[in-house]
Amino acid sequence: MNWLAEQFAALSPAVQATLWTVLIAMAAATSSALLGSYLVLRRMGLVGDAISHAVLPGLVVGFLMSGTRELWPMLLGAAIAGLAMTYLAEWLRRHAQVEAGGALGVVFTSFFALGVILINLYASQVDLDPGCVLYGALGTSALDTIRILGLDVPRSFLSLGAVALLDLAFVAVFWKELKISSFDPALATTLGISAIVMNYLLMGSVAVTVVAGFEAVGSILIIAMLIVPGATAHLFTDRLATMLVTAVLVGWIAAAGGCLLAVHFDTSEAGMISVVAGAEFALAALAAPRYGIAARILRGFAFAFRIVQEDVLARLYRLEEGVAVRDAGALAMHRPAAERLARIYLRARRQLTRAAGGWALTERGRARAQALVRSHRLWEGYLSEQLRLPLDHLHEAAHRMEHYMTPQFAEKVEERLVQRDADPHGRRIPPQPSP
Amino acid sequence: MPFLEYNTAIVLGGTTLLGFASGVIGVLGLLRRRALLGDALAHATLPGICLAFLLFGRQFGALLFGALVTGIAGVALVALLSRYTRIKEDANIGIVLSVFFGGGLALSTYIQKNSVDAAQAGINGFILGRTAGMVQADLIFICTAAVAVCFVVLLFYKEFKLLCFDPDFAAVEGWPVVRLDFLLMLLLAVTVVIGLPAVGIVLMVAMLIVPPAAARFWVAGLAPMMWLAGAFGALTGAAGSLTSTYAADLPAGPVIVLCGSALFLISLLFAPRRGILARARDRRRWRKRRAIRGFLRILYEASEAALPERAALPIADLLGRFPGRAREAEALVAHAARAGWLERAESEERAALRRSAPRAAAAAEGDDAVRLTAAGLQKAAEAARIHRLWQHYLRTSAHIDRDIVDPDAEEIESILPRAVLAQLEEDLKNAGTLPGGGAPVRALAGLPRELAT
Repeated sequence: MNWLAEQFAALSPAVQATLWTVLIAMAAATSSALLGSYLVLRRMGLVGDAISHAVLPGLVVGFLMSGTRELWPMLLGAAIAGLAMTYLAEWLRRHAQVEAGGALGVVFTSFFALGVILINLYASQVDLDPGCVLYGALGTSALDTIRILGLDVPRSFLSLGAVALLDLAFVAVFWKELKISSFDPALATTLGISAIVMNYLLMGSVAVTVVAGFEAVGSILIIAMLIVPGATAHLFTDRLATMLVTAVLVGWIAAAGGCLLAVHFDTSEAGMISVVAGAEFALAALAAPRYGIAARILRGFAFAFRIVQEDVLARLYRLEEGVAVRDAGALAMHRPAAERLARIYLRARRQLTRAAGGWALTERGRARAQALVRSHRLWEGYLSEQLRLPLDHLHEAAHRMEHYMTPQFAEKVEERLVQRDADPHGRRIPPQPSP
Repeated sequence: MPFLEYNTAIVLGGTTLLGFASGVIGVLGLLRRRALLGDALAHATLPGICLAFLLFGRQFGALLFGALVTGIAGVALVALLSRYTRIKEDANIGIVLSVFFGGGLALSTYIQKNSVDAAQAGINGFILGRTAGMVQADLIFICTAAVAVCFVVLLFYKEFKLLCFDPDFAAVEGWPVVRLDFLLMLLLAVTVVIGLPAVGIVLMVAMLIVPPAAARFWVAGLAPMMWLAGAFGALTGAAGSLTSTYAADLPAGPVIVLCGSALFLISLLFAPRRGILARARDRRRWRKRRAIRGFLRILYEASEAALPERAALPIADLLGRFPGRAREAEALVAHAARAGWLERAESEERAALRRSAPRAAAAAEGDDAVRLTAAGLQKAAEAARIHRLWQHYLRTSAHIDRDIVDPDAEEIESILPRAVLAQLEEDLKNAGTLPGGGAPVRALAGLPRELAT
C-alpha cells in the first residue's frame, strides 16, 4: 500500500489527475451499471432517463436549502424529486388515463424545465453551473481533493465510491427480492414480496446514483452509463449474476477508455465515455456469440446450407434408385452456386465422390441421404393415412418436414402407419441406416 | 418602445406556428405510442448539427439539415435494434439518445476548443433553446417547414387515422403501413428539427407530448384533438417566447415547457369529463346515490311487517338498522323528507305518552318517527326488490357469499338477462319475499327491458 502510494506520488501531477479522473468515472460506472442492468431487465430504460432529468429541481432545492455543495442534502433532494416523478407519472397513467410514455414525458420534462429555471433564477446564490449539471465536469472534480492516508483523494471519488458500495449492498441484500420482482412481479407478490416497494426502492437508488454521478458525467449522459452497460451485458448472457458482472466491466471499459480518449482528443470526458459505451454496445450487438446480429445471420446461413446439402444428397439417392427422375429434376430448386458449394463441402466431408461424368454418393453420404428419403416418405404416408390429404398435396409438405425429423421421430411415425414398406406413391420406404 | 418590437413579433409568430405544428404531429405520435421516440430523435440531432458546423460553418439551413439526417438515423437505429436484437425498445431509445448526444457533445467541445469562430454559441443555443438569436430568414424557414408539415398531415389524414387506431387492420387492408410509419417519423423529425432553435434538444419532446396529452382531457376523436392540441401548442409557444423575451436571463426552452405544463395542469384539474375534479364529483354523486338506495331499502324493511299499512318508523330504530354513522343517517332522513318520500309521524310510545300525559308529550321536541309516503313506498320497494334479486342471484347462481358484494350498488336490470331475472322474481315470489306484493316484473323508469336481454 505504502509502496503504491509512493509510486503514485512520484507521478507527474497531470498524470495523477488523469488517473483520478479515470477512477472517478469507474466508480460512477460501477453503481450505474449495477442498477441499470435491472432497469434494462424490467424494461424501464426510459424511467432511468426520466429520473436522470427529473432529479434536477430536487438537486437545486437541496443545494439552496443547505447553502453548500455538500453532497448529502443534494442527494436527499434528488432522491425525493426522482421518487416524486416516478409516483406522479404512475398516478397520471392510472387515475388520469394518460398513456404511459406520455405520462413519463409530461412529468420529467416539466421537472427538468423547472430545475433549469431555478438554476437560472438563483444563479447568483447557486454555485451550480447549468453546464456542469448537464454535461458533468470530470476534469475539474478530480482537482477538489481531501488528504487521506497521505494521499490527495478527490472528494467526488469518495462520494461516488460510497454510493457504489451502497448500491452493491442494496443489490446483495435484496438479491432474491430484486430478482423475483424483476422477472415475475406476480410471483413476487404471491410470495409476499411487495413488487411495488421493491420498485420504489430501486427508483430511489437510481435517483441517488444519478445525482452522485452528476459531477462525473452530467445529468444527460448518466443515462449512457445506466442503460448501455446493462443492455450490452444482456446481449452476452442469460444469467443475472453474470450479467451484472459483465455490465460493470463494460462500464469500466467505457469509463477508462472514454477518459483517455477525451484527454487525447482534448474534448468532453462525458461525451467520449458515452461514445465508447456506444461502441461497446455496437460491437456486442453485431458480434455477441448468441444474440448478436452476425451470429443470427450465420445461424441462418448454416441452416440454409444444411438444407442445400441434404437436398443435393437426396436427389442423388433418388437418381440411384432410378424411380423419380422427374421429381428429382423438380427438386433442383437452389441456386447453382449454392449447390456447387454444397457439393464441394460434401466431398470434403467424404459424403460425395467424383464419378464418371458426375457425382456419386459414398457410404456415409448414402446413409445420410437414406435417412432423409426415409423421413420424407414416412411423412407422406402419415399425411395420406392420418390426415387424408390427396396425393398431389403430399410432396411439398414432406419436402419441408424431412429436414426436421430425427430418427426417433421417424420411428414413431412409422409405428402409426398401416403401409410401412412403401409411400403413397408406391415408392419403397428405406430402413433406418445403421450408424 | 412599442409593446412588440418587429423582431419580437417575428419570434412570436415563429414559435406560435411551431407550437401548432408540433401539437398536431404530437397527437399522431402519442396515439401511435411513439411519444418518447421524439426524445431519442431530438437528442440524436446534436452530432448532425456539429458535423454540419464543421463542414459548412454557421449556416442555419445546413445545421438543420445535419440535424435532420442524424435524427432520422437515430430513430431508424432504434427501430433496427428493436427488430434484430433482444434489447427492447425502451432501452434502445435510451442507448441511441445517450450515445448520439454524447458523440455530439464530444464534437461540440472539440469545436469549442479548436474553432476560432465565435459562432460556437450557436450550437449551445440548440441545447436549451434560444429564441433571441434568430433572424428573419431563420424564421421564414421555420414557418415554411411548419406549414408544410401541417399540409402533409392534412393530405394523409385518413391514412394516419387508420395507422393510429388500427394498424393491423390497415396492414390487412393492404395499406403501406411501414411507409406510412416512415412518413410519420419524417414529419416528426422535421418538426423536432425546426423546434430545436427555439425549444432546444433536451426539452423538444415536451412540445410533442404535453399539448396532445392536455388536449386529450377535453376532447375525443382525432380531428378535434389535433385542432385543440395545435391550439394548445400555439398558445404554449407564444406565451413561452413572450416570457423569455421579457425575462432575458431565462433560456427559452424551459420557459416554453413550463407554460405547457401549466396548461396540462389546468386541463388535468378542470376538464369537464376526464379532469380529476369532474371524476371526483362523479364518484361522489355515485356514492350518494348508492347510499340513498341503501337507505330506501332499510326503510322498506322497517315498514315491511305492517304492509300494506304504512307503519310509523321510530327514528332511533332506523338509526340502529343503518350500518354507517348516525350523522349520515340523519342527513339521509332529511334528504328523503325533502324528496317527498317520508312524512312526519308519531311513534307508538309517543302516541301513548300523548294520550296519558299530553303536556309532557308536547314538551318533547320535534318528531321522533317518520312514515313512508305512497311515492316513497314505491321507491323503497323498488330498491328492496333490486337488492333481494341480486342477493338471491349471487347466492344461488354465482355462489358468492353475500357479505362480499354490496347489492345496493348494482343495477340488476342492466346486468342480468331477462329470463334469469324472471326466474329470480319467481323464486322470491314463491318465498313471499318479493317487494311490491308480488307485482309483475317491471322495468325501472328509463331503463328499457330490451337493454337487459
